[in-house]
Amino acid sequence: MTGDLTYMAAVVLHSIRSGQRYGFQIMAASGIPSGTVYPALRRLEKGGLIRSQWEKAAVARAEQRPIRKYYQVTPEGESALAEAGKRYRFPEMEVAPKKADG
Amino acid sequence: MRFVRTPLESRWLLWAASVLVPSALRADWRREWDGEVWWWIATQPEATRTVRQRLALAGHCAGAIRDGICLWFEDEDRLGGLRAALRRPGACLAAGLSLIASIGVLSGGFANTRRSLRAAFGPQDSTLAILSQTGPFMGQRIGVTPLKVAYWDRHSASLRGTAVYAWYRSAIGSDWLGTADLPAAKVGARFFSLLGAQPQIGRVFSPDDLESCRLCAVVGYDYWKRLGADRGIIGRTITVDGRAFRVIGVLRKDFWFLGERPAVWSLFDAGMWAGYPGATTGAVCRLKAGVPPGAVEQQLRTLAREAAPRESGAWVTVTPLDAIVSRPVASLGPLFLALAGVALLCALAGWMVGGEAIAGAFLVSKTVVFLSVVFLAGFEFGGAASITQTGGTTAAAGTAFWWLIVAGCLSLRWVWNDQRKRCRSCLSRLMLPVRIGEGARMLLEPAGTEMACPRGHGVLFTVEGDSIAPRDRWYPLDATWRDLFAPAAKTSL
Repeated sequence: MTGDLTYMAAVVLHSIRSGQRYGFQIMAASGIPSGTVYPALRRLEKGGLIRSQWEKAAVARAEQRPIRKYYQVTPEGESALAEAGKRYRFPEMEVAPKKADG
Repeated sequence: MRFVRTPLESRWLLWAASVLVPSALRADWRREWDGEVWWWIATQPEATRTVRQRLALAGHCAGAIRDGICLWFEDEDRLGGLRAALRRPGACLAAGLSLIASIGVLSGGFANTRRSLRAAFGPQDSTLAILSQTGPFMGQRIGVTPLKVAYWDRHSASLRGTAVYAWYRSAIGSDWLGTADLPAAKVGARFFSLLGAQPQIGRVFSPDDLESCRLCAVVGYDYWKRLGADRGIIGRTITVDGRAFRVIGVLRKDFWFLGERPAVWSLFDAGMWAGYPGATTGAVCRLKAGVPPGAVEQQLRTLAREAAPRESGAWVTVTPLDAIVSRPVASLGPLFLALAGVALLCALAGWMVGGEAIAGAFLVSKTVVFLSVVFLAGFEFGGAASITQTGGTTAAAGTAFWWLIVAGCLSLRWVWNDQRKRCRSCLSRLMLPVRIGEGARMLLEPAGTEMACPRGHGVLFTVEGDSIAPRDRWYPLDATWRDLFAPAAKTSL
């Protein structure tokens, strides 16, 4: 999959690499609508470029909100992103601070 | 931070999208989207209270539909099931019936076919007829001059009345819709009363209108709908080629006359034609009860010779309107029956030499359905449109005829070919074509293509080229092969 990343998929991957960790955050940072972000996330995960993990229920319960699914770039995703960076120019994104609640 | 309730429309969108998601993934998928929607609401102050924010949230949730569709298409089990279903004989018939339904929708419920069948088999009105003349070139049908129609109207003892008509394209405008290039018609004052046409609203023309309402117009139903179906249209003004006309009525939806559906009908202006004595128009007449069209023809020819001995109008023809309308059925119906009959005979022959009755029934059903598609398309989009204003046929009639011949034969060929490439047991379309052998071997091991039943009932070997070997050989497989074929049916075409 590394060689055939579409621009949108590459931007989503770049967003996750920049620290955006769940769907809504990726949407907000990249400006891509939900109907594109989520299918891209499924494809990237199926291709092994990202992995997902549900956060701990206790964290969500403490904050009185539903639990969240966090995404993380895999080593294959890192190399695919480096490859895509040669072809695409990604939008500037603020690097999100890392949280330890994953 | 407190939980906020998701608005109804967004919940509905998420539910609709979740139906598309494979059941194994659905719970996780729903949990992720619920969390995202919650986060959306939480970050937007009073998100559920303003209409704009609710719409924005619904737009966000609409993305779930696309997400669900993507997951639906990635579900191999479901796709395999869909592919297998598309190979079943029912899918083939359903495709044909869908095509028929589409033609029905596009043609306003098979309006032309129904009209033709009613004229051919329903109660006949043989007193309504079209007057025309035989033209000087290759016997084509042309109109008659308005002066001659008026002469016949005055002197013929076998006519109850006549009316001229002419249709043409014109610039029709209204204050509330603008101007457009549309078909319009000019008709004699007795035109609608001869045809027995009733108005939807207002009234149609009467003989008095020639004096008192020269610039009045009757609007066709379709154009009235385009104008917004306003019942207050009576008395308002529309323009035809720049001239203003006052609307006095709207025709009913079912009013039909020789294929054209003019937007606006105005009165025929005899004075305008006075400078062109040779110009012809269409003419419709009502015969007196019990007088055959042939006798009327003889009388009108005699009258025409008396009025103008040198004119070709001596060869006037009186054609009942029903005969014109039912012409597509009369000319093309036998062709349809002949092709369907051939298919039936072939199916019967196949059954008698050892074929399965269900396969024969499928073949006949498929033939009838796909021939119906071809013929209905010809009737609806070619047959009726090819009638000219004099009751003759345009070049489109020839096109429609050849369409039916060519498309009918091609559809029969496809139907037979499709039947050959179906399983002899379950009638599923065969799959996995594999080319076998060498083209040079003609006698003992001819080259060919092998295809398998998706449910493992057997394998078909089709011989290529001219060979003395039987063209199709079917090798049934026993039940032990089914497990081998079942996964293939799911994953490949």
